[in-house]
Amino acid sequence: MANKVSRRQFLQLAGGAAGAMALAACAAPAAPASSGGEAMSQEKIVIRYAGLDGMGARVEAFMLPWVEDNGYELERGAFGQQELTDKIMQSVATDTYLADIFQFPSNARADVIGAGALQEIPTEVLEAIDFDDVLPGIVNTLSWEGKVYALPYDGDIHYYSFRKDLFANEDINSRFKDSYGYDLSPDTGAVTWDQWRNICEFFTGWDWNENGEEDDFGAACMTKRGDTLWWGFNSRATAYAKHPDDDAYFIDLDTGEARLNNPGFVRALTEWVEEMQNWAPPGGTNFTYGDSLNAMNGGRVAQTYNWDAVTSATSPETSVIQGLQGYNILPGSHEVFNSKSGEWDYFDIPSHAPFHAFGGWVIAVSAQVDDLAYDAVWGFVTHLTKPESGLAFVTDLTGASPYRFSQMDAVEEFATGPLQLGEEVAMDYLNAARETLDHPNAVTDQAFGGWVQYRDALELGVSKALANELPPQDALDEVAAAFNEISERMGGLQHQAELYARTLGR
Amino acid sequence: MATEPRIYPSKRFRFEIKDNLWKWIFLLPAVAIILILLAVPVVWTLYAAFTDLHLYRIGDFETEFVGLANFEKLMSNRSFWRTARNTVVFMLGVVPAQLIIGLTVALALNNITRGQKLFRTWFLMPLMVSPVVVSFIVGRMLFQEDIGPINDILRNLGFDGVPWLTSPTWAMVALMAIDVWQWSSFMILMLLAALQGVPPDLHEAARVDGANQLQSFWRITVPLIMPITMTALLIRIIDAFKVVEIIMVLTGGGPGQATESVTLAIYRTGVKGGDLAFGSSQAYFLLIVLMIFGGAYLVLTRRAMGKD
Repeated sequence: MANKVSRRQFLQLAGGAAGAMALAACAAPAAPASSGGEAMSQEKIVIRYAGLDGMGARVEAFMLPWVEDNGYELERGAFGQQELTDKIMQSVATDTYLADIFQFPSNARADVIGAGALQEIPTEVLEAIDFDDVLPGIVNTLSWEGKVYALPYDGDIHYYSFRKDLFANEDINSRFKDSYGYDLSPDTGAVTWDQWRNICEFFTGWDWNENGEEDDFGAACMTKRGDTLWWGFNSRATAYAKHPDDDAYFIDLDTGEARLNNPGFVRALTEWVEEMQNWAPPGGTNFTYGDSLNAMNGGRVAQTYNWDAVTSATSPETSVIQGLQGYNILPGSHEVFNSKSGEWDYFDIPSHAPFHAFGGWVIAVSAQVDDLAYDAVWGFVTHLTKPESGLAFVTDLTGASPYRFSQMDAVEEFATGPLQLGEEVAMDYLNAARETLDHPNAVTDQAFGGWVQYRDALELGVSKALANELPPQDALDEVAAAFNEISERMGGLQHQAELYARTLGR
Repeated sequence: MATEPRIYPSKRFRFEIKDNLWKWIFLLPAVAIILILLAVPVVWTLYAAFTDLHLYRIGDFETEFVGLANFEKLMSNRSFWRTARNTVVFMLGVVPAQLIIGLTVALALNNITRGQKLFRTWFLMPLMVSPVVVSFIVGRMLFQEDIGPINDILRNLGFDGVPWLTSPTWAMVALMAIDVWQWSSFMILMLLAALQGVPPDLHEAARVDGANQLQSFWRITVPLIMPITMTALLIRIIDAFKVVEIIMVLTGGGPGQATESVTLAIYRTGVKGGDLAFGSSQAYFLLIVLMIFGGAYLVLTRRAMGKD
């Protein structure tokens, strides 16, 4: 007979036993009894916030005047990026209190919201922060089964970034046209991945940055396993593997079978391996996302795609390309693989499938919020995420990206505010953001249960192909098999397909 | 018939009992805490290894006892065996190198009369730095393929840059180099202590008897430093089997799976991935291998030294 214990019971029992024994062994003398409700009522209300170290510090600095004006206290838990996710997931799994408010990556929403760890956002809060102003791509990352459980903070997506100055150079353009038969466009950069490849090849191996060395390259991408390879590869693959007539991308919504080894993904990986091995700087098959940014901002490569290419390129300390960069939605493709028919479909106008890479950090209120702090907590998150506050965050060097319709129109604030983007760059940036977040064929990042394991499986396979350990097809066959095995362990292919549908807002 | 005299505990003996009792009373809390902190995770992990416990499974699932299923999966899991092979290769690469470097430097330090303390402190410095810092500074910066100083020097000398982090072979070499750089100091420290414990009159006696320096080293020094050497080796071997930090920072286990260690795989499966059941079975596998290896090593070492 199967010995059945719920996961939480199991973890709580073990944790409780260890904790009780440890406490018994080193128990401190009993504290004197409190004087009861009178003392409690005199205590200051404490709001406990758990978030990223850097982002959290900015939230704290921004919110402190509001906290003090209202007579509250703020306790901030600061964590590293992965540590924060681990802490949240473990607190969810063990049903233990972490904080009243926490910031979490939106791809963990199935794990966090699905486990019942969050309070649903009250209607009055949604109204107070003008929730209708939030772009649909972001609304999806805050919701679960039609209800809103989190509030927006950051519209993280991948932007295509290119050297506008080089593409506008007549001499360079004429040589490019001689080789490839069309003009470089300083307005749009590469519109398709085929153009991206042409640009990669053309800008590799000659001294276009005029530093006296022929050490210049076409592109740099995030390719390091365990870093951000998941997003680097998927941003490269969506245009081939996400069909406009099919909501699904990672797994089939009917069967739950992984799609990662279909011809769309294989073509993307085959091309990516060639690009990173031949047209990226040395080490380009093991670049962190920081390495790829540095290559772009250091003037070594002509194009990339990234989250922070916009803001980091503006800093005189880290960038030699201030004001020279252009931004656009990720390139598209004339050919898109149709998983339903098993054929490649041709599109006269390139089909784009911008990837909502990571989907951004969101703010949520714990289901275990301290009763005393209940009103204070909702006041806090309302003030933090209302339109004026959101604009202040996304137009400063906070790492947060725009996510509201109103922010997309705030060209002046982006151009002349702390980011100092200038009008042309600001308009490119905001247009790219709006088009990506509001695109009908956009790809929502993987957010169904167990996404960390799926991510590791994909990164392992792609990394093997980048290192020439396996051909792309074999590597992705391994990935697909691993995906299916993980799905089985997570409750079955069908179960995961249902969760996937929910993360897509179906 | 002679009767055996009754033996009464002497006053001194009674005092010892009392004395030991007090020692035990004072020791008990510490022993209890250590036992609890050791026993609970060990028993819990063992139990988890026989279940399908997953931290992040969503829905109305219950944790079920699955017998040996996780261990069966482990045996047929090519990915896990690749990490096992990587770990063994890493261990075989770093431990002998550290022994050779450690012994060479310790012998040199033992023979100098001036500045020994300075050099001893100098050689200790790598040990004081966190492996993560070492991996970042020594690893990601020095071995950076594009603009790192090592490749820069090679290119200025007319050679091609080495794909330190993107070639499966060179990535393992880079990791080994970092580990050897950091942990040779440990060997130096241990072996220098052992060498300083060798009585100098034994060497003088050997010299009087006509032994040359090599004979003196093999016949006197090596046997006398052997116990500490074997202990240091065991510590380093176990550490090498558990390597994780430098791999996470430098290569993330890549390129491909060329540098992923067993411990990193366990971390990814159990801690990050939430598959506590399979992660626990991997952890137990490593524990059992290390226990068997450690036990065999100690028995063989004792036998070998007993024969000497």
